[in-house]
Amino acid sequence: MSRENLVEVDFRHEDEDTLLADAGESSSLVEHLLTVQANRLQAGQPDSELRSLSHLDEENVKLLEHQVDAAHRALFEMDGKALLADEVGLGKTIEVGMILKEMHYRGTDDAVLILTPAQLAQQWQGEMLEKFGLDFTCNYDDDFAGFDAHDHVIASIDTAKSDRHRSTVLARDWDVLVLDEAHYVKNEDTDRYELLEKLSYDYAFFLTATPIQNDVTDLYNIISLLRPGLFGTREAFHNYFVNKSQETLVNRNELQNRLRKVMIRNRRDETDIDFTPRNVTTRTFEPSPAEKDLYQSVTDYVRTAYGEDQGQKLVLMTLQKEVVSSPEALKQTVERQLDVEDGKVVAHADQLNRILDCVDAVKTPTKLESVQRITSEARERVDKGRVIVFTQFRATQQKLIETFADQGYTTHPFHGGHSSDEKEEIVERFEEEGGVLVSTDAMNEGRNLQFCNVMVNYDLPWNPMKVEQRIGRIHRIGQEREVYVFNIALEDTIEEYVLERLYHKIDLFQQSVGELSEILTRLEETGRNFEDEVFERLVSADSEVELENDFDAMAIDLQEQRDLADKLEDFNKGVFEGFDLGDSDD
Amino acid sequence: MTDAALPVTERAVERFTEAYLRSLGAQIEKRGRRWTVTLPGDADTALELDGDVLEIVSDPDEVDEGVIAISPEAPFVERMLDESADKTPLGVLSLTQDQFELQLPPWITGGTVEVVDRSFTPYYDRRALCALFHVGIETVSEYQTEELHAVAVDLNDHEERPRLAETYLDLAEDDQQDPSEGRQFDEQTLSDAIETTNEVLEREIAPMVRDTRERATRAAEVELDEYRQFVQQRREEIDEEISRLNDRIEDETEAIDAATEQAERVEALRKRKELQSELDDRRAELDDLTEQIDRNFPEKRREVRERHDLTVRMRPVAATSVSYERGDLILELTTGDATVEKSYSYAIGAGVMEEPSCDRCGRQLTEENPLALERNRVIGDTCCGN
Repeated sequence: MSRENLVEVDFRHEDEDTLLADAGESSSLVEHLLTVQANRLQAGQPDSELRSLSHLDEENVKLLEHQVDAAHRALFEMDGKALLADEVGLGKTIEVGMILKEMHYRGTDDAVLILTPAQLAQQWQGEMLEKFGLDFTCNYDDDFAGFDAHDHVIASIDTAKSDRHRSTVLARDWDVLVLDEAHYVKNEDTDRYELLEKLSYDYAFFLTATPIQNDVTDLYNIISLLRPGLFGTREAFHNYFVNKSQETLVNRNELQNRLRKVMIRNRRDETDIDFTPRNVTTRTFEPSPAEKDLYQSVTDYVRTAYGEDQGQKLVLMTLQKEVVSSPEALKQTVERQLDVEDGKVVAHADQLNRILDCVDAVKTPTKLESVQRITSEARERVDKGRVIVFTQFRATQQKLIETFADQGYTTHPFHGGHSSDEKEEIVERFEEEGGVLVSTDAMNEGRNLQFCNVMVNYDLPWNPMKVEQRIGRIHRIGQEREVYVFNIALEDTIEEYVLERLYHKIDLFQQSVGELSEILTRLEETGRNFEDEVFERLVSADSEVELENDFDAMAIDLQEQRDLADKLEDFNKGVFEGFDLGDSDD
Repeated sequence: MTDAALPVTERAVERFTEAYLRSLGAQIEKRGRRWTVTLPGDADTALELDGDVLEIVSDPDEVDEGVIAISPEAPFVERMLDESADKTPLGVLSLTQDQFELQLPPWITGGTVEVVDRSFTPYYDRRALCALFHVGIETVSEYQTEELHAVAVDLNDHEERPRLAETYLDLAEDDQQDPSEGRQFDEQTLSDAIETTNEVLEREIAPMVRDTRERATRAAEVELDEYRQFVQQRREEIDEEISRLNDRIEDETEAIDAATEQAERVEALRKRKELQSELDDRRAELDDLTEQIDRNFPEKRREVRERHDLTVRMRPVAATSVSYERGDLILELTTGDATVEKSYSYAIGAGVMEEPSCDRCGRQLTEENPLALERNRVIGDTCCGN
């Protein structure tokens, strides 16, 4: 007996007579179509599965059990209105990405608004696109044409509440609202709170690791935006949950019961997140006399030019960054500064020309020698000698590629000029052939490079998030080996200050993205921007001593922000200690 | 064939509840997610609602006492669906160009050619049967599968019209649409039409049935293999038992020969007889097993086959007579340099009815090889475009 006919198939056509009995009789079309719908609903499954999960590319995002669980509960148990309050570093953004992906899959995401602190908006945009294939327009994009012009928008909350945009933001009915760092909207007397209160939306997901900042009223305010009425009036909430004489929490079980309907909090020690050790080495070198001259001439020029015209800030900041990156990078910008239309006078042309002379005097950059020592060591000791070297500038990248190629290394340039497919191919070749991949920060695009475990910061971005993003390319869930990060800097340069006095003070290289964003957001709340702070300090210091003092002061400030962030995290841990915010057993 | 099952979301349930209750003449007063509903006394339903409060919730156990939950799997919703599912299985509708925008296929919209003008000239009406079928596949080795499929078949040429089935489902879903009613089937026409859709359905579900059958066959083979191994193992055991019994019979024979006492010999004889009988049983069992092996287990195969056989049940649960206009779709196409007018056979609800090909190489135009223009010729953009 052959395999085919071992099992036979019996086709049975059933119950046609029931249908035929009604033939010829008139019927209402409306009722008939309802019968069709009723049959379709009877055949359907209750819709409470994350159906989009199978459409995610595991190369781009590795989902953890607690994240999938949080997304499922937020969507199906909390009716799409939830406060995602995981402890820091557990991937709340991923949870929201999953939720939005699912809503996209089900077609309930016609209009989505994500509000974030300004410094995190573009990071959100990148993560949504690269990890979930969700394309958002950010208010910092060149083609951003207002809140009524795009259906999927990521914006800083302050842009949304500004006079220019407020009316268009409020005029729309949003399907989904996402609010990152929701604790900054805790105060009901602020413009931000008012904006949120007036926004029209069907589903909302608020994110914070520290729902309570000052007192339990913060929690009332945030939850009331999500679920008006869950806690009754403010007075009732206070009377019931706060012991007025001691300002402590009472009736915790009841609070837990109510919070369970709207809040999800995963704790780090209950998840299976496991990172391999991260080994960070900073190598500082004494610059050659020619490099010292070059650095000094650029710093002098930047100070003079900025003192006269602050409108040039971006260019001047770039010069200050380029001088510690490579003479090649610097040269291009200086030549562009000098290359103006005929007849126009170039300000400080003499200083700029002197910079060019100094550039020519640098024969072999010190950093270039030191990076080769690292790659050479890697060639001996690491699988296929794979090393990623990051730089901010294309000209530096070009120089590095030439140098490595001359030394017989297999090289792979990676920059923003490549198409998406080309980038894919470069990464594949790097994995296959090994050697040195020299990348600009265009690599911050969710690429999965965990097959490599050695990374060099040839120059350092002044925005710590970018540093963390670089490291995050290789130090991520799935990396099985210890990760080695090398920072190269020249002594007595801005880079050394940023590295030694700032990054190391806040322990940047050991921070998780979540912790770092918390610190940066706190800084932003005080009205400041990290890069601007660095630059202002550099140009305004009159002496070396003053510069050092300035950076120390900034470091102390950062340390304070970090301590405050830590304290809040601890405080929230304490408040929610013993809270079982999962499903009730009863 | 189109998968017709609907995800049972809160929204879908809410919409259906309102539509069904209104079709029964209910008065609904809405206050947020709570509705107060009263049905007329003569409403054609077993549901009884007289000022009752219905509440849309995600968990049916969440509502206050006396309030009726509206949510997927809520008892009231299930009763309502049961009632409505059997209520009006036959219907008639007619699709005309007034109700639908003319739909262009992806081999036109996917290319660079701009459609400057479009018009439809109806020539005649065609009739189709759009039917919903429950398809159940039963087998012991897998979960029973239950699916709902929509099939649309033109009654003139007996060809399947998949896009018409999709339009039909969209219409059922969209309570804003107002399709006009048409002519009802008589019993004979309906019977013939269902027979035709049955054939189409059988053809369409064939791949799914084939897959299930393959899996069932693999499961049956595993079962047979296990049985084969069991028989083999049993045969070895019996061989050993026979050898052991032979030894013991020999021992008893020696005991008989060596016995000095009558009683002792009788006991040995009795024992040897017992062992001999046991040996005969084992040999019979061995012969039986050997025969089974030689004949490749016919009984076991029959038993396994009967257990694993597939039953595919197809039951029509709703059928709609759909009349739809057919005619010509006239398109004015331009690329800026060239403008041409093309005419394609078209049906309302079913779209363009032909599959044109490249005038130059004959390759079919598809979404991947969309229409392009070369002077007044239609060519494929991928096969012969620039």
